[in-house]
Amino acid sequence: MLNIGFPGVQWDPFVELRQLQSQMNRMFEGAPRAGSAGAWPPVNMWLGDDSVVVTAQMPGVGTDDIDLTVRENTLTIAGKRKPPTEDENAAWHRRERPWGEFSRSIRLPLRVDPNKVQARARNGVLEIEMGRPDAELPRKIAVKAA
Amino acid sequence: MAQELATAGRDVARTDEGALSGPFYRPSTDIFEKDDAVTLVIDLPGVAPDTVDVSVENRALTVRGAIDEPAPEGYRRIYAEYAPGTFERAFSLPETIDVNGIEANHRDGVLTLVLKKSEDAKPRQIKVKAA
Repeated sequence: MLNIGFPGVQWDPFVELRQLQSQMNRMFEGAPRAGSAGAWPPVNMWLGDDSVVVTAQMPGVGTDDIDLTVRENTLTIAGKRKPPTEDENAAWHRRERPWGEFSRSIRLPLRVDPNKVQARARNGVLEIEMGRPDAELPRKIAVKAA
Repeated sequence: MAQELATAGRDVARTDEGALSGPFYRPSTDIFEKDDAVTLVIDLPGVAPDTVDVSVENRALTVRGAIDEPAPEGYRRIYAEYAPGTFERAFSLPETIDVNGIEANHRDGVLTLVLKKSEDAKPRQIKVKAA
């Protein structure tokens, strides 16, 4: 049988590098990564003047398989991730990538207008840009001299 | 190798595309075997296809890719579950794999490598002759 990537079975020159990696991951990251956090996909959130951006790491999910919904201040990212093979005769050596249906709701720091939503996918990262409703945009109020 | 480690520790700011920059992440990987091929499916979200580096040295297959995900302009980050850095993972290849026949494909942030078994390693029927 093949022993690809199984630590201990063959000498692996990268063991030390991996240990350093995980140490650095812990040092550099405030939040846990996908897998350990449980929620999928992992997201980052960005705030602008009148809009908010959510980016999500969702490799292997085609744009046709992504279902986005926005309601007031909640964004829901749902979809389906296909298994790499449906062949029942394939022998698995490693199975680390989650697959199947997923759904995640994210609370946004402001209410957004469903008509002001743009989503782009690039190299397995989804970027969703959402704008505030016009009625809620901050307005300048002129002060009249008495 | 020692050289690379020293560089990786210091070089947090990216200088050029494809350059190693920390922190390093171990990408999630599926490996399955079917007939005369072994397939590796590796998650590399945010890595541009032309910057993925796949190399084989001394039967160690190394996959590397720096996340190229610029921050949205005019925005500040208020919440983070993942961060910039470089994906890297090494796999040891058994002798039965033909290192010259590796096919690589990158789509939607997923790298798929198809490793063919060498001709010698393919199962074959041996006819038993009657004495």
